[in-house]
Amino acid sequence: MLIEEIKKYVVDADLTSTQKKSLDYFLENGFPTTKDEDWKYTSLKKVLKRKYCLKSSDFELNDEMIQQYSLGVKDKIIFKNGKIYSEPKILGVSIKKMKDLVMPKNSALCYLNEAICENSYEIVFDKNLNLDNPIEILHFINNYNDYFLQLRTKITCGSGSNVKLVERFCNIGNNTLINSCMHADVKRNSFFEISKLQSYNDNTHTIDNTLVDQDRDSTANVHTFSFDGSFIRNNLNFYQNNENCTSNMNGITIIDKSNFVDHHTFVDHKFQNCLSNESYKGVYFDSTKGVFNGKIMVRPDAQKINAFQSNNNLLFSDNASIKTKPQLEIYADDVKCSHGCTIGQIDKKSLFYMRSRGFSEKTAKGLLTFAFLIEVIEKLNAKEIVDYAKTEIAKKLSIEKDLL
Amino acid sequence: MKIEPKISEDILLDEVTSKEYEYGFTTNIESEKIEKGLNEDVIKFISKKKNEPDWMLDFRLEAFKVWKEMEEPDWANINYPKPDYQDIVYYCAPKQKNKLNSLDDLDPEMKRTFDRLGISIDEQKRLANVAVDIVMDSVSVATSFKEKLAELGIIFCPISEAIQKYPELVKKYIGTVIPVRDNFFSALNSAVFSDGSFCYIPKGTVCPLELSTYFRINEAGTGQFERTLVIAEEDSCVSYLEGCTAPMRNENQLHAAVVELVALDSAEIKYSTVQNWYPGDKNGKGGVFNFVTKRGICHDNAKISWTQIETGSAVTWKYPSCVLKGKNSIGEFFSVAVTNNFQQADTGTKMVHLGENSKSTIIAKGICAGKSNGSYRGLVKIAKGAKNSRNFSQCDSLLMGDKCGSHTFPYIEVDNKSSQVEHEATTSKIGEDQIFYCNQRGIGTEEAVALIVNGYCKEVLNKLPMEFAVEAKKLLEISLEGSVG
Repeated sequence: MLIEEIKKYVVDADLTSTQKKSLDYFLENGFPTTKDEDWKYTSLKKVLKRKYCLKSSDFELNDEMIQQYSLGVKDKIIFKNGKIYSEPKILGVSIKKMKDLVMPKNSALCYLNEAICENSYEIVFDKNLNLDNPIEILHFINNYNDYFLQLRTKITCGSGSNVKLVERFCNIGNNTLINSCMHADVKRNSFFEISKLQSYNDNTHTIDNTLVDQDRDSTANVHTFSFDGSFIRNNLNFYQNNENCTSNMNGITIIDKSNFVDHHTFVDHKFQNCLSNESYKGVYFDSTKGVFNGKIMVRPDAQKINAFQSNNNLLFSDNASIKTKPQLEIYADDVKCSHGCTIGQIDKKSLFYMRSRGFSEKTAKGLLTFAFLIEVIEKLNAKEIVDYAKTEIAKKLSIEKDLL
Repeated sequence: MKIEPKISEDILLDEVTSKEYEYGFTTNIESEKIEKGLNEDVIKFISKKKNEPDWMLDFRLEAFKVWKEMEEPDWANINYPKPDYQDIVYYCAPKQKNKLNSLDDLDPEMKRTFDRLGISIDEQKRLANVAVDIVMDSVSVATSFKEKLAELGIIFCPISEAIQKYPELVKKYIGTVIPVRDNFFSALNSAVFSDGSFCYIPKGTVCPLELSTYFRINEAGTGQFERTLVIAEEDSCVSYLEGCTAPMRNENQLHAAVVELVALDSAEIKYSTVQNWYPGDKNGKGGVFNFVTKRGICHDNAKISWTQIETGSAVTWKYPSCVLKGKNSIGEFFSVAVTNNFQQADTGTKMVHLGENSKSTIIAKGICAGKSNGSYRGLVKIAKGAKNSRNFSQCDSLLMGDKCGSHTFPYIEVDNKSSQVEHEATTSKIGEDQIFYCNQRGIGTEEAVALIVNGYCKEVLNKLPMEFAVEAKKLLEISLEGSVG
């Protein structure tokens, strides 16, 4: 049904030849189904059943709304239904609207995004730019009808730069399916960090594709916080295109009701002496479903790679389920790669210890769950983000934030 | 003090790769085989040859119908030329004039074959306390210790004989653990299997011997499709071992077996495999395609334990699995998979927890050398009703040489809150510091590698029955002699 809508939409759209090619690819392959290995546990069927429109309508945005969703960071880049609304005035940061923005793709959805996204932007951070504070990227979304939105951003971090970003989608309207593609080009010796704050309302469905290309001596960190949203699929790919790259991925997922979160990560170690670290923690309440698929690839001759991956999950309900697949593909011998994965509950002895010292069951469970997550929180640098994470965690575990 | 010269990596690797397959001889025994190809007539011929009842023929024809509609799967992490299923001989039997009365009547030529294989039947019979059923090409040729087992009510015989003598038992259990439709190769096997072993342990009996089957593909251009069915009644216990070899041939031979285990309440089955099919030469030519379906079902309080040492085959593609249907049932999987030269292995296990308090343990060790690729692929599924279930999985790989690959694909699915699942996997090579430590203490590099590999596999080797642990250890040493990572 949505495919029909897309076909109708492109009739009057002015597509470039590359966009046409991408569209053909998408129409040939269609939306992924559970028959695709990468979507084995994630069905788009329900999400795609709605009647979405592809055209955006305009809406008023005021400071109060921005305040509500902002972390209180000074510099903000604000988008309204994918169109730029305001940008910070920082020397060395420029935002350009692109007509034809070609980016690497990892699924049919990226092709679709390339074909029909109206507003593609490139954010360029100049060489040796050193940002002390993170910049916040806020996407405000509002539409009269149910809306299928394409977001497309390329981030270029010039060599020697130090860039920290916070990204958040704020849907204040009807049912929205967001298909976002972000490509970060992290040049030599630069540092790139992005925190994705995923606390959406119930009528937001997101497919978030993030691809990071890394050059020599660079570091890239992606932190993903999934707290709310009926359907979240994150595709996170790192490509280490030269020696001595470091890639870090961290994730905290705490969901309740009947929400669904799927993390797919992929690290492609193509060159020697690189490092990757991955730590995803999940807490599942009610009838939630979680999926984790972490893939580490070490290409032939990419020696001296250290790759670590861990995925830990707590299940708090018999109706919750978790499917996880930590995957290693290794074609070089002088490497140290490991992955670990656990699924379990709060240790009864620890709980008893805390109860016997006068903590209520709720508080004791909350504190122990927080302790389970702390390994990830300790890896965060920016205090605004730590603060955000703690607030949301406290809310989810229904304990007072001051205890954390 | 003797000082070992440090042997360079290249020389060592050369030695490994030049190591020839020991069991690559053929036996000149007249055999009876039919035309190549597969159609209903072939199936009818096999069934007739075996003097099978009608229900068995119907089972085969049904399976053939299902197989024809199926497509050969290609999701595994292996590359191989797809066999032409019309270019295989589906029935091949060593020609024998009369039915044998005892092992002493066995064809002397064939006897010599088994002697060369290192399983002298006489010796085994007298010394090793092991009952052996030998399947050559497609037909079961010798079964030892039958009487002794019969006294206890234990049935251990070729499955073709079981179909004749114990049709109600075979009919009741065949195809229940691995349905005909399960997969492409199990359907093929169900249609054309020509022999295999059948084992039945009555209620409350502990089998006093290790039961053993030895498989050998001898004839060129034949496929081996054996079918094994092990049934352990309530409170019984059995340990079963299979071994396999094949001659060296330039073409690829197909081996598609089906093994079904049924462990009824409180029964225990231990199934060990030492797989040493011909792996192909060092250029990757020839070798056996080993596409086997193995699965066991555990009823209440039952236990099934799979142990496998995989050193042979050009391509190995198998997942011995346990369906933990009953309460408090236990499934275990211990595996060492060694690949060298151009060998490929995609192996692992499936543990499906359905009963409460079911437990499973998976220990998988992979060793890859040369240009080989080894994969662990496993599924741990804990169903909603399988409360308080427990799984522990560990899969480690050891890489020797910079052209080999090692992969891990664990699937973990948990649907309730009271179960605990742990999975860990590591990939590394033998550390230079470990070798250095051994060298310092006067242990040569080669011995040090053997020592480390041995230690690495110990957890699994310890699970093998005594008689075969020695053989397996030897096999490991042979296939990895001197390779320093």
